[in-house]
Amino acid sequence: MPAVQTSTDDVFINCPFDDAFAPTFRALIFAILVCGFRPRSARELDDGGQTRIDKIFALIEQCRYGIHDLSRTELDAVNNLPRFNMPLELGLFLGAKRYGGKHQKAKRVLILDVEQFRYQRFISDLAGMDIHEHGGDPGRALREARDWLANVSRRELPSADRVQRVYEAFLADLPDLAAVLEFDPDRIPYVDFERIVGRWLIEAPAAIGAA
Amino acid sequence: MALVGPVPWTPLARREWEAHITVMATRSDTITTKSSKPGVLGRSAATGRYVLAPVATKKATVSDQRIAAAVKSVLAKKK
Repeated sequence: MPAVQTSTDDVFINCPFDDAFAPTFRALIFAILVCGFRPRSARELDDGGQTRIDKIFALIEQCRYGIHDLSRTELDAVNNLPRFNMPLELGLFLGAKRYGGKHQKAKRVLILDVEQFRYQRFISDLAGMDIHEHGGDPGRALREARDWLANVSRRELPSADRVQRVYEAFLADLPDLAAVLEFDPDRIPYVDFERIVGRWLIEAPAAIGAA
Repeated sequence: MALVGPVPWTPLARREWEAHITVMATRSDTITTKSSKPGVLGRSAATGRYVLAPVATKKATVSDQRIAAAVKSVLAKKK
C-alpha cells in the first residue's frame, strides 16, 4: 500500500448539515479559511461517479486535520431515528490515523459537542479523548476551531478576538452579499458560501480586524 | 547446447515493455499519491493570512467574477 500524503492545509469538517446547525457549520468554514486553511466537506462532492462512501474515504485520506461535531444525537424529526453519519466518519478518521501510513498517523482531530462530557452517555469508547464544548454557540465553535488549529498546526494565526471581529463583520455584510447574488441568505450553497468568504476576506479592509 | 542470450530488442518487445511501464506508472497501487497543493486566492488585509482557494470538485452556482463584483460593491457601500 503506498504512503498517501495528506494536505497539511486541508481540514475535514464532519458535522450535521441541517438548518439548525447551519450557523455553526458556517462559523467552522469561516474559522478554517480565515486561519489560512482549506475546508473540506462531503458538501463539496458531486453525486455522480464513485459511491458516496468512496468519496468520503478519499476526503478523509487527503486531510491532515479533522473537525468532528457530535452535537446531533437526537432523533431525526422525519424518521424518528438517530443520524449515524457523524460517528461513522469520526470512526473512519480515527481508523485512518490509527492504521494508516506515516502521513495518516500525523492526522489531528478536534471533537466538538454541545457539552464536554455528554459523549460518555452515547459514545463512551471516546473516553480519554479531549472533547471540546461549544454549547451550540457558533461563536464558541469558531474560537474552538481557531484555538485548536493554532495548537496542532503550530502556525502563527490571527488571535481568537480578531477572528471573532472579522467574522462578525462578515456576518453583517452577508445579507447584502446574498441579496446582490440573489441567494436566500440562509440557504447559500456550500460551494458558493466558501467562495464568498474567500473573496470577502481578500477584499475586506485591514480596519475590519482591528480592535 | 546453444547458449541462451538476452531477448533481442525487437520492435514488438519494445512495445510490450513500454505498455508495461505505462500501466505500472498509472496504477494507483504502484505510485505514491500526493494531494493537490491548494491554490492561494490572495492575502487578507484584515488578518494578514493568505486565503486558500476552495477545492473545485463541485461547480459553484455563481461565477467567481460575479462573487468578486458583489463583494466589492457591498464593501464599497460601507466605506
